[in-house]
Amino acid sequence: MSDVADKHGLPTSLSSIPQAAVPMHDAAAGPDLEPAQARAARFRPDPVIAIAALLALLLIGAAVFAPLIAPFEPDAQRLLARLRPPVGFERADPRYLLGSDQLGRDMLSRCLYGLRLTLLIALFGAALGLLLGALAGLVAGMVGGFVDALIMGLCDVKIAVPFTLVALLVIALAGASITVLVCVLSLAYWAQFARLIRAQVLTIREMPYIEAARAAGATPLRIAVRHVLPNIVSPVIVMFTLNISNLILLESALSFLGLGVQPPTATLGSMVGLGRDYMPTAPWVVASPAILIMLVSLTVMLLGDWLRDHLDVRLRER
Amino acid sequence: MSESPLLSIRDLSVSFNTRAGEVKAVRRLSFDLAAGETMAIVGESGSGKSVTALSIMRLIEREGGHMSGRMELVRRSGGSVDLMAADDRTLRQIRGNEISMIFQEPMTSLNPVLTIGRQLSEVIVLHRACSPREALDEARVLLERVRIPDAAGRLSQFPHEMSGGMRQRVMIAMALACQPRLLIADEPTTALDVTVQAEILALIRKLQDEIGMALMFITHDMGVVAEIADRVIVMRHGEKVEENALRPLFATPRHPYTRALLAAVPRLGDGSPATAGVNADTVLSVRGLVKRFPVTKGLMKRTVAMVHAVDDVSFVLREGETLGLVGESGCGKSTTGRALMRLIEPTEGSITIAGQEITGLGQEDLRAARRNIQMIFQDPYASLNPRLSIEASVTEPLAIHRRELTGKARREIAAGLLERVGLKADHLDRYPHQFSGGQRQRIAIARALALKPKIIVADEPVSALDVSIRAQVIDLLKELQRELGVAYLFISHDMAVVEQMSHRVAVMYMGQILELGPSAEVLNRPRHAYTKRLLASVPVPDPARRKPQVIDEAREIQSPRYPVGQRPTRLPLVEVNAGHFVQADAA
Repeated sequence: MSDVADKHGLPTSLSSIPQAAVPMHDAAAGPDLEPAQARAARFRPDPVIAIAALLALLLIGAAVFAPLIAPFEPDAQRLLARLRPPVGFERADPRYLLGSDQLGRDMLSRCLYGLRLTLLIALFGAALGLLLGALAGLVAGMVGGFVDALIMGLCDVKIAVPFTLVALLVIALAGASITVLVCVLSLAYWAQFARLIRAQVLTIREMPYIEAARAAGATPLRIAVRHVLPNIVSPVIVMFTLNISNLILLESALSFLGLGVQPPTATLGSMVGLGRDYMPTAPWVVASPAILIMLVSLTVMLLGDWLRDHLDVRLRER
Repeated sequence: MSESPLLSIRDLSVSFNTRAGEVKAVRRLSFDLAAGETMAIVGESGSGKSVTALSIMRLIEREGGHMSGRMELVRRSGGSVDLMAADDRTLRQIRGNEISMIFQEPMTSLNPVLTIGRQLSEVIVLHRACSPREALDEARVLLERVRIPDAAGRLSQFPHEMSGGMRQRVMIAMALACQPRLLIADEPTTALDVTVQAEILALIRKLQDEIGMALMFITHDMGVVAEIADRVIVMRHGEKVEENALRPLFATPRHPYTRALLAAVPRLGDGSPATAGVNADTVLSVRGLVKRFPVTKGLMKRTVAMVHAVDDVSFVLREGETLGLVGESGCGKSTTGRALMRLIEPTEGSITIAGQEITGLGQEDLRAARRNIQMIFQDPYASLNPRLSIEASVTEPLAIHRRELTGKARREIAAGLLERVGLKADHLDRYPHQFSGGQRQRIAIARALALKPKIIVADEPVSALDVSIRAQVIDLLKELQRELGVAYLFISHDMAVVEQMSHRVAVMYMGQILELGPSAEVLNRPRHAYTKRLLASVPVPDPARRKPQVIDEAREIQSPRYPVGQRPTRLPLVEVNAGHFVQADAA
């Protein structure tokens, strides 16, 4: 169809179908979208997003106000009330809304505190990893040459060495604390971020608008921040959201090995890990934290998709 | 023409459901195509011409199209079938066998990991009962038929080992493998250089005579239409606006759109701007510009050869003048343009912009020097950052070079620039995707003008635009030159466009300037054999001047790649006439 469409590598044409709506004579007028209408469309609430936002508020609220909401201390044991099922089941104790675990601790309280800690660890871990990876990837992609080879070499090393070993070493040296754990988790995925971002930078770097910016006299820093970064956010956001779920699982794996958060402190991951022996007889011990993990992942992913679309000016005003 | 048409299309409509609602790509299109006839479908982007082609192959549903209407095809067996209602089995028998198709991109239409012989014999085996060996033999015959030299040797080659023109010949060979009754060619020469295009067009015409097939030729280029068609359908917005035999259509177009389309086509020989007004100061002087790229091989990145992309190029550009730089792909014209901006580092030579030598300048000084020279790029879809508002894009040069200005002052300048290039000031807050290709190119021009540069390097600025919009952008560029006195280095492969724009023309080939002089001189009285060949290849949008069929064997385009240490021969430019220089061997 048009030679324009084919610049994007499509052998025939169909990507240009929407262009059929574009006026042929392009003079001054242009596609006059009614701005108010466009703005209204932009803020039209999407039901899925509304639900995700509500979930996010609930989860964050529960995490932040855990000390106020929780009916019990999360670590308080009552061996006489072990493995009570949630309210509504036979043998339930009305004080334990979500039942109690193998040591007679209130599941609801532990879930709330666990959520608090898990969110903290996963969000900060992923954010720190992203920051590290973004910096490495951006520098590697923009500078190229020896620096690129060095950073990519580090990435390969990171991916080749079993992460548990690294975590073990770091925690053995620095001691087990939340701060150390967050730092270790941020190390878990920085290389993936760096590779993704470098690959994106390499593609974007060859775009004519980057050349146009160089021709206009823009400094490399300006090009990186103003032209490259905004154009690579989409895949980065998607990866970030996937990462959060991964980190929740990784944290539970580390806790299981005794490297993560030390018992009796609850995180959602460790609750699932410790509860697995009781699965056949007391499934609620695993079910509650597992459902929470799922809700957190789902919410993060939905919000991530929304954010990605919202940041893309091309999708925003449709 | 036979009594009943080979293909008869009635009320073909195709629509797509998009986020923006239903888009009707083709509306109630009807036409007949007789056996052996050549019909061209012309139209600009979005006119539905490619969608029509894919609909006939029934490939459009895979792309999400909904079709209605009737498409009656007379089959080889004599019976007729409605393609619209045919089942998949029937369609598979028809595709590639009775109806074949050639696509635009020879680079992507062939499978890169299979040899040419393998891909050709696959088609043959698919539709005919024969052994792989027989098929391979047949493949060789096919390659010979499309005049590929050393056909037997080519069979074991991979697509990347061939040039674009060669690949398109292979595609044609593949499409003709089963002697189809109808060949649909969707812009088969758009991605090719003019000299190669001329060869391919002549080849298609010759083969059509040999096989006696009908040809449906889809193009946006009126010159190509005049070269090849018997009958023409003009499409716009999915509708047929006019259908006529070739000569009457060009002589007496009935529909206003056809008239507009024909009027917008730049014709070689329409004259160039007079050089009279241009005798002012030199703003750009290039002497002995050389750019070599090393070809490395192996783990140690050993340099095995040098590509002499630009080899000893010298010229001057005066205030308010346009120098056209023409040549085919790979001749080094874009490399020259980019070296002037020092977007790539020249290997040797000197570049003086407004009296300042810019080779060897440090990054800071270079940034300052770039105020005087700006650039417009080919692809308006890729040269604007999609995530930046128009204001941010247009004011970027100001934000870099004129930091003393407030944001408000920059916005005012940008608004003025937009109005200057024929857009509205309130477009500042929009984003590139909201504009058409022509509008985006206007925005790119506004950005290039922001710093009031003395020179603008325009690298194929209108090649990606439809003809009618192309004419508007050319007019805009010329108008800006008259008002602002800016000098253009106008890089293009399109001779007619270069003629319209340029006071002087330089013809490049294999990294060297072969001929340089006033446009009227070079284009009307070319001295160099290559210039003559280039000019002869340009399709003329006039059916009365259709060129005689000359079938050459495919020529491999020469490559400016030389072993390390060896240099291409340089011939001095000799002045044959006032200001008209030609390489010595042709003088």
